[in-house]
Amino acid sequence: MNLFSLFRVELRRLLQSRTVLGAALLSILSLPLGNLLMIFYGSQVMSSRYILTPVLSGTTVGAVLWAAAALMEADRLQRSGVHVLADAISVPGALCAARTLALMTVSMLVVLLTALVYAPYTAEKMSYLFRPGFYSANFAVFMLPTWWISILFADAFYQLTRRVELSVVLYVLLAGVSVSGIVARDYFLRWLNPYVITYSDGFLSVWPLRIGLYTRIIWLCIALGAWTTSFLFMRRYQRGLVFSFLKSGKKLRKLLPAAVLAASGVWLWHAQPFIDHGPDSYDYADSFMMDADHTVNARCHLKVNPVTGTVSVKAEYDILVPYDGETVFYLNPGYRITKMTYGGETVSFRTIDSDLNGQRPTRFSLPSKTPGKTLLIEYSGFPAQAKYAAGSLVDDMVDRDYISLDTTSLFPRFEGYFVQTAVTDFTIPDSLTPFCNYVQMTDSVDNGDGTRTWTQNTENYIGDFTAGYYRTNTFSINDLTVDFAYGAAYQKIVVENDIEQVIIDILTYCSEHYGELWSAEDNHLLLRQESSMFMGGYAVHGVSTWFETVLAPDTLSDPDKGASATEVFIHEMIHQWWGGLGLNCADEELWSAEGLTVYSTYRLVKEKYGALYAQQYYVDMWKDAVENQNRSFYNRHPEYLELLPSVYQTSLELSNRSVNQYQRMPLMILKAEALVGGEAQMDEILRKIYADRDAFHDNKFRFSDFLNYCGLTEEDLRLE
Amino acid sequence: MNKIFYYELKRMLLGKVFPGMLLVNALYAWFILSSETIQGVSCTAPFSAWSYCSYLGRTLPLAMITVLLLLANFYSRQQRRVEVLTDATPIPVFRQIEIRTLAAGVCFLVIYLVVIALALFFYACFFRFYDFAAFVLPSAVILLPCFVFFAGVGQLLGSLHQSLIYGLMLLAFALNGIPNVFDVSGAGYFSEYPLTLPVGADMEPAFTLSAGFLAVRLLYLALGTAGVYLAAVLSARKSQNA
Repeated sequence: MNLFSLFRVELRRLLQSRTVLGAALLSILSLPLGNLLMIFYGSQVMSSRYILTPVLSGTTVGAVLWAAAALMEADRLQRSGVHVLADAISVPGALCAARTLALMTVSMLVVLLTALVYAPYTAEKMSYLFRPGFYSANFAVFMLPTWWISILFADAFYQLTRRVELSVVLYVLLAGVSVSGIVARDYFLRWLNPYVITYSDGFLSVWPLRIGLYTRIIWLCIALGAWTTSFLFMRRYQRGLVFSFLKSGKKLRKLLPAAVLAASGVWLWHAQPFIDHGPDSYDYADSFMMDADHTVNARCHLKVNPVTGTVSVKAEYDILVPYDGETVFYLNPGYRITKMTYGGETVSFRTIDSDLNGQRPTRFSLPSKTPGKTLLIEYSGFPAQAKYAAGSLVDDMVDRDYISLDTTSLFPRFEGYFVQTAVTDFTIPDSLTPFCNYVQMTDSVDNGDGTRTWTQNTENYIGDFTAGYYRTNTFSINDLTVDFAYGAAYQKIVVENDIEQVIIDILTYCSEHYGELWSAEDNHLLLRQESSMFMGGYAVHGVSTWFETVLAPDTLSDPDKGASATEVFIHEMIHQWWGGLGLNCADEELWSAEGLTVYSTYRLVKEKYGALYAQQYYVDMWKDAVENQNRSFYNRHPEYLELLPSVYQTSLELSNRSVNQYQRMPLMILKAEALVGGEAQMDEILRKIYADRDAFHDNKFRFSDFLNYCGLTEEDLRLE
Repeated sequence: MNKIFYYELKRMLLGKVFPGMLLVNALYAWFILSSETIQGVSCTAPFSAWSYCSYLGRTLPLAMITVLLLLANFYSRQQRRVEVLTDATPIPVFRQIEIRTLAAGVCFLVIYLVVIALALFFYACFFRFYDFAAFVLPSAVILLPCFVFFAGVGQLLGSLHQSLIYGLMLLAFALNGIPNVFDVSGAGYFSEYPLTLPVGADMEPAFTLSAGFLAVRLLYLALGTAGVYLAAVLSARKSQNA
């Protein structure tokens, strides 16, 4: 019997097998496990809860079940004692291949069935946020390849050991690597339980699917390599592993596919375009640039391709006086420079693979005796994530509904040259609303091909470019005009929950208690929703952004939830008063803008939801965090700290700093409130501080300044 | 009788499973020491009895899986085929199971000699801590009931059906770290309980075991012993039927 005939026989048999039926049923039933056991993948967006969590639960549990089925089926002939007869009828290798391929085909049918079974429920739960294509893609990208990888590994282990229990041990060891905490945020090592940060409801996120598919292909190559290698160990003449290998290994052609497949997996791993080769943590020693005394004027043209997720740029710099000697510029490590000329002459350059903080240096030198020419740099590629942040957020990406690029993912950052003025064109899909340096862009031309080119004149560098499928509502509070930009998918939620009124409440509260908002530029404030892939929010001059889940239906329908994402929204809004270009606070070990912001959030929440709620979700939680910090062994015995590996030292320092700024300081301010005579007196002091903010523009507002305003000493605020 | 015990022990210690699993247990233990224990459990010192007990608890699921893998061999198809012969010997079934349990117990002991030696080496090298006397009693309280429970219940399930032992292995992982007195490995209990205790002058909670925890340990011990006995009864009945 040839392979195809065997495949048909095996497929028919497996479709009637109770083992396979059990694996299929349990795999289908495993999807709700993630939500039932409260193991949520990603943030609180609907597509994380109703697509990502079920699919990843089913992927992992199903992979284990299909591996078990593969082992049971592989052992079936030996178990029933007819393997000698079967080997006499057909070639053992062909039979094994036919069985594995048939099992993979059955698992593919089960994936299809699973997607169909859960589609109505998911569509009903997600309502208008449900996208059939995105839903199906998750099954195709994560579930199907992972099940196949699992089947191939299980079968390979069985061919090696010919013992079910030893195969189980080997499989558990391999699975252990994937599920262990060491690789918790590693996209590439988690072969069994793929890592996905989160999804976005408002701005379709394809990036996790791209990297998910890539890692699956890597592991499929490795698993296929292991599987084909295992054929070399297939027992011959009823002899053992070594003899069989020596017999099979003589035929080099059998080794070749295994070696090619395994090598392909390793090469793909090495050549992955998603994450750079930089260090695991941010290097704070990376100074911004050397003295930039050579000014240039720039004209840049940036074009994105949402289908491939790539960027292509043509950047021109008019250089009056070239820098004498070799200098350097930094770009996103994912880009490849295709052309570099000066005055039409090709410039030699060398890009060095020494990534740091998401940037890769390119060294070049210009002829210093030929001034007044134009430096042209053309580059393109898929923006890579900085390794230090890749496990917790996706910063630089080009997707259909969302584009986020910053600093060196946009244009080169030069050492020695200072960009005086820049005229920049961004060509993006015409459905997207762009924001350049946090401000909504206004000047555009329709290209008539589904794209629009937006132009921005800036001084110095462009630090941030974001474009998304936004809607913008404009409303006024007294003299202040507010542009409220949110994902178009959230329109219904914004209307139903009267979000505009919530914003008005916050702005009104803070204006009444601390003074009119100074940071609103020309009485204008932009409030913009971030994609949840960014994992946070920030406030800069006249702009406040916040986490996407603030508007997630689950968040807004859960008023009992303490310190929820809605309050993160309030927190970010209050940063317009404390921090950024409001009161310029120093960033010290204990003191920062966060202390005043957290305290003000607590006060607003207390007024909005009541004293009991604020006590439970703010004051009590601050006290718990501070108590745990006080009790921590290494805080009590810092002499042992140096015994810790540096990664734990850093983690402990960051944790202490966070508790100091977000919990200890608000608790100290609360104590100050009691000492100065109550909330009204503290409000008066804060109002005065905010009014005096100009005095702290250059000399930042420190903890000692706060104590002076309160008429207190550090000793007074010491916590017991 | 001793001869059979030594034979079973040799079969286990020198088989394919034990040496590899011993290495895996040692590597896993070192990983726990260098990644979790080093940070200290529940704000206590890494070398406190709390952290040490939590460390033992974290290593237990893998050790129990090793023990269950060793015991699973006695309920395999091949073993069942030779049961006709072993049943013909004058050794009672209960004694056979007792010997298996003791042999598995020695393997468990070997694993924990390595795991505990690693901890002591770790404490001495990293923290210059040598006061190990306080660890003796907690080690016995954590390890003995856990071993007896899994060995007993494992053999009971194995005598019902071999695949049930593998189910118990999954349970060993699933039950790991539940933060109350029923935590069979103790990892969750020793991570949570110190936070509920008052701290002394040195800000460390004194090491005590709650009566509830001790009672549950005794219960696990009793369940395990009952499991061994029931496994013997079931096996004896099966051999009589055969």
